[in-house]
This record gives sequence, structure tokens and C-alpha cells, in this order.
Amino acid sequence: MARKITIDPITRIEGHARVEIEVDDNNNVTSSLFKVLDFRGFETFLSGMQVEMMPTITARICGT
Amino acid sequence: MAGKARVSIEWLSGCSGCEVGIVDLHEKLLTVLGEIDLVRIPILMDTKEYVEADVGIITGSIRTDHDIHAAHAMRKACKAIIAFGVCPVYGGPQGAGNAHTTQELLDGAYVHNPTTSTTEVPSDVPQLLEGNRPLDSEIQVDVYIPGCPPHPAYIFEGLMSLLRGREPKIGRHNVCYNCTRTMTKSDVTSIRRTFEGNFDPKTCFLTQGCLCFGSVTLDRCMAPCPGVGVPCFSCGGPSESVILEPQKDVRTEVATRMAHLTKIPMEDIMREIESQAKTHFAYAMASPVFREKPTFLLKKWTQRRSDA
Repeated sequence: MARKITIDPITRIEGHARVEIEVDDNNNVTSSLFKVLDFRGFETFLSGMQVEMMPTITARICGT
Repeated sequence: MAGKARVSIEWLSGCSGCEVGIVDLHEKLLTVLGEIDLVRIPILMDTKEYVEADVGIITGSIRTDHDIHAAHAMRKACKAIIAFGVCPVYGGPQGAGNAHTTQELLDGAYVHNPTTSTTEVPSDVPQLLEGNRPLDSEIQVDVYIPGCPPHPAYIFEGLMSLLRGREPKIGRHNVCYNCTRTMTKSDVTSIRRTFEGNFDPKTCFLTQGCLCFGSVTLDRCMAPCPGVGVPCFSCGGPSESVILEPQKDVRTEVATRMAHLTKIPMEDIMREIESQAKTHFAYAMASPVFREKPTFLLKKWTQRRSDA
């Protein structure tokens, strides 16, 4: 039987994510989506900061 | 507290460096684990529910509608809440995003990003709020442990005092208290950045004309950065006097001190801090401690810089 498996949230990783897997009648995976649920906007707000700040602040994108 | 205290951890919008900060307790982690049971910690365990606990540790700031939901669920499930790290206490580095609209942030990542081919903003994900906020804008917080991440000594003292029901034994000094550099007067006439010359490792950065925010930052770190040639970027958040006294703000305090130590005009220092507001207010921009100061005009200063 076709079904959709959702794991939300995924644990034992760094950050927030969800996985959605679709399985068809023959138990074959037809689609698999990994969704990252976090967004802070580093791409934009880092612009305009001093370059000497980058080693310390970009380390805060992922602290693990 | 009779028996082991149940401790539940949840992360909001952050980087999970604070969870690593707990591991930085090293041997003291064994002492802590002797007194607590970790009933929920997403980085280690697969407990998805908000189980009941005596102590709730929350890392990360309020950035999405899911963060709001998680904060309230934790408040309901836990007897005491610790805001753990500079993100829940003051908003953290993503507070710099408050200089932009949420739409600008999304466009910068998904629409006008030169390194990816996508132009589609993801859907079916938690909705972003209009700004980034500290935890106590949503729920009541019992203990604040700032730091990026908090220093193990303060994590230990914070947890232990809460578990034993006593006042934490911590200082109220600023970062200069633990800094090994000496503050003296000098004849320096212009502001220099760290890459613009050789700075004496034993003399205060301000004396040498380099902006350092240790004098307006609460010492919750034991001043490791100035000791290795990096001026304080205030990741621990504002000092007690800046928090408590409405007329004191970071810009004026640093400019006054630096102008007194050097021959740089105070006005020059004030303008420099304003033009580099994103850098100098990097970790606590989203906090009302700064936003409600009459002199804090982040958007205006940032705009003036990008117009120039």
C-alpha cells in the first residue's frame, strides 16, 4: 500500500530537520525529501560586518 | 531537591554550540550527571515530546513560529527555565538580521544567491517572524546564562545553584577584570583595526587605538580573547551597568574611555562605532537592553553605511 513516512523532527543531528519519504504499493521509495527547518539569514546579514569578525561569527552558523 | 532532577533541553534558532558547551564541562560533567537525569536532549536522544521536567534548558532565539510553540511547550512542561547562551538571553548573532526585513534575508539566501541556482523560497517549513527576539519576549525565564557558548564554570555554577536552591556565586565585573592587558594613556591619534599593525600584547587595545568592547561586556568568559590578540566582540552581552542604567550605552561608554586614554577625538570614535554597528553590536542587537537605549539606531546607522 502506498504511504508517506514522515520523521519530524529528526533527532541526534545538529539543528532542525524533517524527512518525508513516499513509498509505493511495491514498497519502493518514490520520493525522499530532507527539509531543513532553520533559517537565520547569515548570507545577508554578514554583509557589512568587518572582515576580522568573520572567523568568530561564521563559526556560529553551526557550533558542533 | 530530593533524588535526581529531571532536565529537559530544547533548541530554538541557534547553532547547537551551547550543547557542546555542556560537554565542555569535562570531568565536572560527571558531577552534574550524578545529580540530573537528562530526559530530553535532541542532539543525543530521540525524545520528540516535551516531557515534564524540573529544569528546562533552552538554547537559541525566537526566529520562527515553531520557536514560539517550542518555548511555550517547554515553559508548560518545566518548573524552571534557563535561557542558555547569548541567543535566548540577547538574541545572538542572528540579531544582525534585524537590520534587514525578513524578505530581504530570504531573497539573499534563495533568490539572489550567486552560489546556488534556486530561485524558490522553501515552503512547508516553519514561518519566519518579522524579527529575531530573545526568549523572554515570549515566556518567563528564571535563570539567564549568557555567553557564546556559556563558559563551563558558569554553566556549572548556574546549574548547581539552581539545583541546590541558592544564589549563584558569580562576579559582576566586566571583561577587563580578567584581561591581562594594562590600560595606560597614549599619544595614538587614529583608530586602527587588528590587521593594521602590530599591537603590543601586554597593553590595552583601547590604549593602542583598537576598538575593544571588554569594558562594556559582562565577564562570563574569563577574558580568553584579548589574551590571544583578539579584541572583545561582546559575545557575553552587555555589562551590568549598561543593562541597569538607561543613560549608559555601549557606544558612548567605549568612546569616552578610549578618548580619555588616547588622543583620538571622542566624536571620531562614536562615528566609527556607528558606521560598524553590525560588527560592534553583533551578539545582542535583538535585545531590548540595546534597542530601548535612546542612542541605539541600528537600522539608520547601517543604512548610512550602505549609502556611503
